[in-house]
Amino acid sequence: MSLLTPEPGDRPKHVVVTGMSLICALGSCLEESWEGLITGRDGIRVAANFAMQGQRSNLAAEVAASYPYKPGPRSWALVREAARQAIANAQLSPESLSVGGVCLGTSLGGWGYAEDLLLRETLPDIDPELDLGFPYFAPTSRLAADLKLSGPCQTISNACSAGTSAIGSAFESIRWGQTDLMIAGGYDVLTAMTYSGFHAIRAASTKGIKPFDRTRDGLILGEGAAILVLESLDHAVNRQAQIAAAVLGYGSSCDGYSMVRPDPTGSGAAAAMAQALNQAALTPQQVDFISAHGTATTYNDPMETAALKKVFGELAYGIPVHSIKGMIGHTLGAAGAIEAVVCCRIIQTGLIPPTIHLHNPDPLCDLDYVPNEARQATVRVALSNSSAFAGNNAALVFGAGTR
Amino acid sequence: MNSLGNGVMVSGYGVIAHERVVRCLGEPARASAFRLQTQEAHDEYLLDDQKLAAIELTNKKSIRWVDRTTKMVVGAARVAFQAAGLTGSKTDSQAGMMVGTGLGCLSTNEEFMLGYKTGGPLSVSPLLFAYTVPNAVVGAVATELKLLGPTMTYAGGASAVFAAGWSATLEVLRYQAKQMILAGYESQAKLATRFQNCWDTQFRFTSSRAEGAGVLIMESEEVLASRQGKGLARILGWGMSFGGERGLNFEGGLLRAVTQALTINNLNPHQISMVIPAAPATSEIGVQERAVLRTLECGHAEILPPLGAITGFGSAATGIWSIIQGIEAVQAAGKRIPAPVALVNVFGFDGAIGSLLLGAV
Repeated sequence: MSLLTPEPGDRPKHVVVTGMSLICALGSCLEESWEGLITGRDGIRVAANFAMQGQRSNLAAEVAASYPYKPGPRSWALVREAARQAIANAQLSPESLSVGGVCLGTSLGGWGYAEDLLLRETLPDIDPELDLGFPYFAPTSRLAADLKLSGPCQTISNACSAGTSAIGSAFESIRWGQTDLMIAGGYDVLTAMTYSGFHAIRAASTKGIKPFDRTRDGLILGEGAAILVLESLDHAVNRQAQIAAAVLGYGSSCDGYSMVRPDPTGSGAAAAMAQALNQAALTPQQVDFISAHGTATTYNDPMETAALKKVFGELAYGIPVHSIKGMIGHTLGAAGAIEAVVCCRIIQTGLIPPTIHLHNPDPLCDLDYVPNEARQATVRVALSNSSAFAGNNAALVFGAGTR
Repeated sequence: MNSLGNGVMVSGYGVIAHERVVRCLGEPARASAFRLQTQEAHDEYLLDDQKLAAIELTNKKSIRWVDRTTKMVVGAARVAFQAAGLTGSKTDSQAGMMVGTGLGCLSTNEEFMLGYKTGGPLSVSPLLFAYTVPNAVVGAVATELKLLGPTMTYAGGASAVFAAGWSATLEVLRYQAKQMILAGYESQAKLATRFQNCWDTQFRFTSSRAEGAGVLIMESEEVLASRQGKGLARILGWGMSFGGERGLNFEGGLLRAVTQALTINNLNPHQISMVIPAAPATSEIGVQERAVLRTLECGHAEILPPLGAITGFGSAATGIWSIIQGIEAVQAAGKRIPAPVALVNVFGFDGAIGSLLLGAV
């Protein structure tokens, strides 16, 4: 297949999901996390591992303490474990894996190592583990080396939409014939920089995270990792893989509005979602479910509601929309990947996890947010939306099986 | 697929860098000039703070302050837009931006953490926090130039620019973004120096430090023709692979990347007339790279000196400068030989390898 001088009959490849993993505050594997999500469990609590001295709050959605205490090794441990689980779920052998590549999204990568260095009284002598471990790309690179991958090795650092963008980038790599298999997803762990920073810009809550609620006052940070094994349909069929869902479309856009606030009209987010639907060759009528970014900040939730109305018009009122951040916090670079896994799981099971802590809906947020209780529904097409610092927006469309 | 355009062109570029980098880029095909300068290549090639301070954003209502790193990219983007003849109304609102970086906004992160260390979590700067993510530069450029199209930020080193370039190419071809900005940047910081020292020691790489930014404007041939713009070079193919930890399997990875780049446009290795290599011939990586060129039987191609060896190694900045070196080389060669093709190779800190084929217009 030639992209730049196409031959008649050349078509982009279909891309399917054949393996998934999810580690978050609700569980250390997909099944445990999923159980927590559909029962509407709140994973936010007083942080036990992350040092909170002097911070404005002590609440966070931490993953289990069994991961290394320090944030740098913690990010690598999370990535390694999430990848191991996804690969096992996909029943991939090391040999079949080696043809593939990796694309992970993160806000901070191995930044915890850097904090460890910078918060010391004096910088220690060269320490290869710390010095080579802190860059954004370090965990991706280590994973590619560990798995002996030969395809593309990419790290996306688009802040809070990084997980969505990483899956989108991996999807495009397969779609256009760069490779037949990608390990794609996102991760992030709690760090002093993000925790203090989100409070400094008054985007974080000290009480609780209440997406779309009138009394919401910001996000609470969480941590986690989610990985999807993406394959070309042909590759998956040839190895008789179980297909969990299909990736149908990806879109991205920029607000061009502000560094930290979204465009209140929702135009940017709407453009990304419209582009993803357009690539999937789907109409708004065909979308059965929407996973919202839903950060519970003052600005995000009405903006996102406005964006959905731009894309779906009156249909927006009839499509279930949820935000899982009330349960697992805002996991930054992991968020989009976690939400992608949840979309695939919803398609598989017909169960939509709820938006918890939604008791007093904001009049500006007047859609069906699946409040407080999970719901059964037939979902064939799910749209996942993410937004980020610097006005970046990204969206993915997933479908049942293959088309 | 048949609705795709005829190709992707580079219509302009801009560089914010130490004057040595700019000088090298101005004389791309003259190997003697590179050799001369290589002898002085053990300095630092850092940017003058005062010159950077002069770069201000015009849209003060939306962005009151930007950090030093962002200024580099904004400055390079302005130059690139001007060079491409894109001003105001000629820029399409669906234009987007793809970025590659190695260590991102590390200097800003360090500054943020200095505030944390000295004053505690309650004293950190909200202004600085907005610039602690590598995609902050996209937000600033997009706000300044009113870009609403697709964006993505890759972090991985020199090869991150190539991953970003592949994405930008897709956006131009598939999604009809009229223009895509491809940027690479790197800024120096305390930890960046440590990282590089450690990298040099561990991986037996030798390089001096550099920082700066480069920006390319990419457009479809149709869009360029419709606005009567001038193409500088044609994108012929990208290849991406992983060369193993510490570049242990650089040779195998590079072979895959170059083959992929050739396959995209049905080219053969004999058509490659010049190579901008990832590393000097004397380095371990360089030896493997020359072996790949022999395997591909494109030993006839002129091998230009790798830019990083002359200008200092600026990771993703060097990645984008290498592309610019390739553009200038292919332009110059176009006056001497028919249909020259330049192969540009890079090797990132993350072990990723990128290859790009550029053709003359």
